[in-house]
Amino acid sequence: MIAAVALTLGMLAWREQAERARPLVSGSLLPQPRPIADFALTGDDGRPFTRAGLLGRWTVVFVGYTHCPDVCPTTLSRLKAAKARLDADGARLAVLFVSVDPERDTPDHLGRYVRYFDKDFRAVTGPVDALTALGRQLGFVFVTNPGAEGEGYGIDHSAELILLDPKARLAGYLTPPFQAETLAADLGTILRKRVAR
Amino acid sequence: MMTVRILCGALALASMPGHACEGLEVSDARVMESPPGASVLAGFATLRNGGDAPLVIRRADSPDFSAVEFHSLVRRDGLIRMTVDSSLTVPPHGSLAIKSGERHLMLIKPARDFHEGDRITVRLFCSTGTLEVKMPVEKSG
Ligand SMILES: [Cu+2]
Repeated sequence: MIAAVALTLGMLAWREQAERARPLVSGSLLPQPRPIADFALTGDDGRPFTRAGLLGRWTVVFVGYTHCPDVCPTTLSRLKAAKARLDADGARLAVLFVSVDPERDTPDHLGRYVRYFDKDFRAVTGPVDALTALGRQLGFVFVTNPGAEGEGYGIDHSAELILLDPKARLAGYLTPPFQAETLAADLGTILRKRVAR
Repeated sequence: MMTVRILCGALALASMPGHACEGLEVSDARVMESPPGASVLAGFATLRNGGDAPLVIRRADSPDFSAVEFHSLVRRDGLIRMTVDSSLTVPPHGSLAIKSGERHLMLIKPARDFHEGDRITVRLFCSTGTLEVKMPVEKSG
């Protein structure tokens, strides 16, 4: 009898714990969100984009370039579909496309590119040095691949989605392949998380 | 005698319109619509080889693009890397899936913007001739 009660209580405590920890379906959260230093990039409106632009909302960062034929458009489409599934909650989520191809991706071109997928998506780019430094903080990498795109070049890049909390801290990663359904579940999970002061 | 037979064979192939990649069947062909002004589009399809020998597609082209390449995506050291393949091989009585996340037909420099509902013509060149494929443009996702 006592053993059964203890067991039940144990299970309740375990369930409560599991609820709080709520693991992501396809990714992981850092045990402790990691603050990031300020950076200077350019937004798709042509104006400076800094760390302050990330405050107040959860942000999903995707790194790529507009000359990318498959991974980038597919991921942005999936993000759009996932965001639509979240309905009103989706509005609390920012999607930021970080172009690592500043040579070809002008702010204007970037703006038209991301808005094709969703009118609320935003894009930034900047000098390669600044992008590399941000990559070191957020855990993304990119390398120019001269042979990959006809007479031009491709860029090998990280394919993870980077999660930033409303305090502009690195909170975790979602890993490909992405499906709208699991993406929506995971994004819903992070939106419900309370962010510690 | 032998020479005549070979000559006849060659003539027969040359006069065959369109479907000259013997045994090759293409299904599920589609091109992913990209944002206006995109410099490259990705084409996908499933290739089936009904023959007894491996079927090699040596190159592809399109009147709608400046070039068509065969690309594979490889994940290495945490990076998604796009590599160029010199040809595609469909195994005998088997298939090759050209699918998102793995490989694509890289359609380079479109002559114009393509939208959902448009059809893109791609020609596949194999040792026995050419197969023309019409690929409908679809919204991605
Ligand atoms: Cu490609």
